This record gives sequence, structure tokens and C-alpha cells, in this order.
Amino acid sequence: MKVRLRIQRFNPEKDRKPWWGEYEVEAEPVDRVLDALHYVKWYIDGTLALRRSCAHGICGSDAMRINGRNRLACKVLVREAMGEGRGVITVQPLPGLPVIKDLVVDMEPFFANYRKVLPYLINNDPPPERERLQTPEERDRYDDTTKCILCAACTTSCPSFWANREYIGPAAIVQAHRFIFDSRDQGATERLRVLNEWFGVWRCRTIFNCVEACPRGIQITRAIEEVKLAILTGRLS
Amino acid sequence: MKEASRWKRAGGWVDLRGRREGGLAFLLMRLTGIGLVIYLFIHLYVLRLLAQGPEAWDAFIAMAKSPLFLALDGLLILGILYHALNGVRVTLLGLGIGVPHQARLFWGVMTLTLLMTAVAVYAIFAITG
Repeated sequence: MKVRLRIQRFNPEKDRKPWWGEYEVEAEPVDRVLDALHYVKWYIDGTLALRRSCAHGICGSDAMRINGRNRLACKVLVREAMGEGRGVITVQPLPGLPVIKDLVVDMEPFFANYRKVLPYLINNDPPPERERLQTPEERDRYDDTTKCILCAACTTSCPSFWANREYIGPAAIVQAHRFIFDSRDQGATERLRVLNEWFGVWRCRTIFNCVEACPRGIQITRAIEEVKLAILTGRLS
Repeated sequence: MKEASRWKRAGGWVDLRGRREGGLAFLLMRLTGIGLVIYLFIHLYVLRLLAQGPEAWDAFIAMAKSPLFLALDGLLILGILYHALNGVRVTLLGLGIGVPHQARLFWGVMTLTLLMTAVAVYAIFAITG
């Protein structure tokens, strides 16, 4: 089938502002939007810049705004996107972050917020001879937030983040949640202190855009509320 | 690097593509909030008539009983009710209560808002008519 793509283009060396590039490509209905973008880059205009690595919904590199929704280009089928856009697929870079070129955004503000929550295991006990054991229930406590692939679809769909990039954002809170509620971790106090700051969890307005955007189906708002409760009560159970 | 303007970035909240109940609730909350602030100032401005004596006030009250004004009262009640009831929803969600049911809570808020507005509008027209 013929697929019409409308892609937001911007070349910092040539353009003063972004413009729309229109392309017509041949694709199967069950191809992904990423395949259509590949077609444009490989056969029509090699200057199109986009990020992608695994192309199978695992690495989180190709998050972009397709028909106004933050999604992974490798997880949206052409027929699905064509239906939504009445025959035209609109592709834009993730909103809320500076555009480097075309669909490539500067992820540094996003990763700066990620680093703030100390996203690694903190445990000052002497290392045990074998694994640090955990019951299935203890593992289950933070299972949902282990699914995050740091694609930034959630954080860049958040109006609080659009208004102020200082806001730590849903992805960083999800990552913090993953360690705060891990029975093997001892860094919860420090992480909760970071998240209790001015631009921490309290900037969440429970808009649920992040939950709609997450390609992994993480119940992000629930995780944020659990972190808020942990801050308020000082308890992790 | 190209940075979208602050206005353009923040303006994304009126873009409802791909957004569902939560996004709609937030947008309506903002709009009714802005509306109520504007109303507050109009209200205070009108109240100054009290300082100008009974004639000025009575003349205003006579105008306030016109059908157009009463219809605007209905709109005001709609805005107040939505803002108040959704405020309760947001408070509950903020306390971690009912997060998985947020969409159903939103439709509950909408139903209550419309029902109570209908009752209020009926009462207004029944009393003044």
C-alpha cells in the first residue's frame, strides 16, 4: 500500500525553524512506522536523522511522536497509524526536549534527571558469598518498574515537564521506585530526599499522559503515588 | 539545537491526541480554573455597586434576572461543580487512593457535575421564573 508520511524536519546548519517534509512510500499494512522511516532514509532522502538500535521495542531508542502520541516507531504498525491519521502518518521528535536534528532530540536533560535518583543498587553490607537473596513477594513488590527501558516517551508526554524541565519526570521516579522498594537496597532515604525536593514527585498533577505513553505498560502514576506515600509516612511497606 | 518556545511547549496540554480521561480531566481543570479566577474579578468588580447605593444595586439585580444572565449562572455552576468535584478526584489520586480507577472516577465526576448542574439550572429558572 502507498503510505504518506509527514515528517518534521530540522537541520541546524540550514534551517531557522522546523518544516514539514512529505514523503510517499510503499509499505505493507503490517510494516512498522520505523520501516517506513527507513524507506525514506534509505531510498528517498538520506539526510533524514533518527535514532534506533534494536528496532524491536527493547532498547527504547526510537521513541518519537507519531500522530501526536509519544511511541516507539518500531511498535506501531503502518495500518494502525494510517487509520489514526486518516491516510497520513505524522512523525515528530519527542516534545519538551531540544531538537538536535530532525527526529533526534537532546536526551541530556532527561538523563540528568535520571542520574539524580541514584539509579543503582546501594548496599553497604559486605558482599555475601552468593546472591543477595529475596523472596518472590519481595521481588514482586517492584516488578512493574523494572520494565522501564528509558525511552523518555513518558517524561516527554508530561505537561509538568514541558512547563519546566527541572521537574524530575515520571521516568526518573519509576527508576527510583525500582530501587526504593527493593529489599536488598539501602539507599531509599537518600532517594526519597531527592524526590521530596521542589521539583520532585510533588510536581506530578496526575494527568496520566505518562501511563498512556509508556510502551511497556508500566502503571507509572501508581508508582509515583507509592513514592509520595513513602515520603509522607516514612514507611516502605 | 532547536528549542521550542516555552509557550509552544506548555501549549501541548490542549493537544488531546492520544490522551484519554486523565488528560481531558487536566485540561478541563485548567480551563475551569482560569475561568473561575476571571469570574472572581468580575464578581468583585460588580460588588463595588454596593458602595454606590441601593439604586445602582437594584438596577444590576434587575439585569441579572434576564434569561441570558441566568444561563451564564448555569455555566458558572457547571464550572464550579466540575472544578470542585475533580478537585476531590485529584486529591484522592494524590493520596494514592483509587489510582487504577482514575478513568471511572473521571466519568463519575462528569456525571455528578452534569446532574447537579441540571438540578441547579432547573431551580434557578423555577425560582426566578
